[in-house]
Amino acid sequence: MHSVSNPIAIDLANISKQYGDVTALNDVSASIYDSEFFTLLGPSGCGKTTLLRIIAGFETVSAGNIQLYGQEIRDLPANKRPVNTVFQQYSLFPHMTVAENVSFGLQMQGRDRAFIKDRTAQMLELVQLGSYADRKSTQLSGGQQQRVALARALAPEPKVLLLDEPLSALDLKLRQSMRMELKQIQKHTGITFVFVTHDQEEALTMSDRIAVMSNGQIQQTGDAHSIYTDPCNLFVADFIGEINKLDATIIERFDNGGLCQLGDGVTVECSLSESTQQSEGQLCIRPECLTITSVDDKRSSLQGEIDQFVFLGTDTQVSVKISTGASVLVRVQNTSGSQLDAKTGDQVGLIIDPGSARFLDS
Amino acid sequence: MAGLTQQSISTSSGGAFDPLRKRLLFPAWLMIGFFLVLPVLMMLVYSFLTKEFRGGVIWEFSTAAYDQFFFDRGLFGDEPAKIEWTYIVIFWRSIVQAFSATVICLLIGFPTAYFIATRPDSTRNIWLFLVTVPYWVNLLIRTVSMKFLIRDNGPLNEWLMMVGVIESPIHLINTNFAVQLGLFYSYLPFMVLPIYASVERFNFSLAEAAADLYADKWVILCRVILPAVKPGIIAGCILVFVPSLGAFLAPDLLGGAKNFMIGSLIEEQFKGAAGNWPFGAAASMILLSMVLLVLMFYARSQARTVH
Repeated sequence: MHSVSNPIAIDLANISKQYGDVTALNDVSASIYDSEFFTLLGPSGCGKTTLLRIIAGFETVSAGNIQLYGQEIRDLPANKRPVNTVFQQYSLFPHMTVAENVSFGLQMQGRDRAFIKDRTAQMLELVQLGSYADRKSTQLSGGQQQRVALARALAPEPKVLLLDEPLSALDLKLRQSMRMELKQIQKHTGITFVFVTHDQEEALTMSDRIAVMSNGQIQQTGDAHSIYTDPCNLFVADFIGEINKLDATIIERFDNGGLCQLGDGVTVECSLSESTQQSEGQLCIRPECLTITSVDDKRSSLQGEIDQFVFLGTDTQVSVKISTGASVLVRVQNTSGSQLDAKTGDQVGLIIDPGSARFLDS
Repeated sequence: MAGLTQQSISTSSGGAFDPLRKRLLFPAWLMIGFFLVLPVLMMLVYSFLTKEFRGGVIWEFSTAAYDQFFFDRGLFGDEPAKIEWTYIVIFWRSIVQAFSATVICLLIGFPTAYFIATRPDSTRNIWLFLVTVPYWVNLLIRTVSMKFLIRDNGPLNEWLMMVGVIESPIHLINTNFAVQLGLFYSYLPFMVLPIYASVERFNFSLAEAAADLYADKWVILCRVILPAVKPGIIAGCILVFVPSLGAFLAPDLLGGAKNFMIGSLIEEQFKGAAGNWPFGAAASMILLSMVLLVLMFYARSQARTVH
């Protein structure tokens, strides 16, 4: 994990971006640390790509400041910023060969010929395309083009590498292997990666830290674990992974939690975040934090009737209609030997893992 | 490039539809044969006939037309042959004029096309429409109005004198400059439209990628945009060069006798009793072979970029 003691690579301070009446970014502030794999995660239209393009220099800001290793770069044009981008559609130069594409940035930097030749070969080795140097970029498959785009962006040794949904155009298998490869290349080179994606799985598996964005704002920043287990609001809880949301009212507050009441007098102990002000909200529980037990089990906090089973391979998803009338999803792992001995219509109890129920303002 | 690939795809995917395809293509072949091949063949035949003094031809084989074009055998045709420079000079002048018209059209047309192609969707069609508006008016009328505009006591000179740029009218009519102006004005859209089409298709994220890789605006233009829109530029140049080479309205009306071009030379041979049909046909064939040479040159350069 990257400690906060690393120097700050990119410091975004109160960035806003307006397109006419539309606000794309609203007062965004974030610090991205040196040699960190930082992900901007959010649904389409949340402003993540705009933020990346602002860092790259393709968009100007309406307000705010951007510092790159302490230097203000807000008014620096894109071709003067020591950052490089891997584009979503790769944007390889179609009339150039693979090697010409990769060496383009180095030529623009005015490096000498021998260096350009070595560096280009080295980058193509890094992305395992050494034998493709003389191919036209249009003769490559999607995955290969993606690698060339990566090599091209890495060749000039940028201080920060920006990646705009680089895996979204690849098929599933390729995408999964590229995730690992990207992560390795990031570790190997030590370059700060800023990665934009709408795919939470990508974000969770690759990132050191994730900033979850929606509506032009960063909702929460943290490592994958804390964002998943400790979402700060309903949007984050809902966007990352699956979660059960039940209407709830806080009836008692303790030092490190509270007691909330669901519809018909069922009460559940839950954790509260400091920001929780209201008493009306949602009780959020991840499906894997629920365990099915017999209806008279003393440990169970919720009771209900099994509605449906959905087999998902590693897991089975059980839908339980609880006594308040709401539907709750439960994830049961399919281990060898053990078989869930319940069937549709059975009355069951649900045990909530301690500390996993969370109350969030709606 | 794209044209070639498409062609190879369509020929290879023919298969079972081939007989039907041939039948469906028949009207197209008929059109090409009747309106393109036949007239050219007629000109070829006419160029090898003997001239009839009242215009028209006598059906008798003769190479006199070509001989007249290239050789001078004196007034009565009995002196030893010398090279006849008159027509070669006219041809050369036409090539120079057409070439400079093409260059000027490119210099003005490229920025224009680029400007239009980079406007937002909502205003792009308006700009495009504005470029084509003058071309709804007949070419002859446009050329005549140009003549009125630039004549010695025409609006252009009057305005320049009123503003105080010049003291006395500048003489523009019957100069090379006037012919250039006429050609430029006649054929500019033929340059703008194909370039517009290729710039419009250009993927501007490539320009962003180049800027991201430290290229300045000039390098982006030369190394990323121009190679991508090259087919449009070449198409535009051909579309301007070829009709400029054979143009006769602008040279006739704006250039006067001193700035005679091939188009006018050919036109005169088919006009009235003073004409010489075989000679006009021969000059046409020579012009046609030059145009074909230019096109072959282009096809060669395209073929080289494919392989």
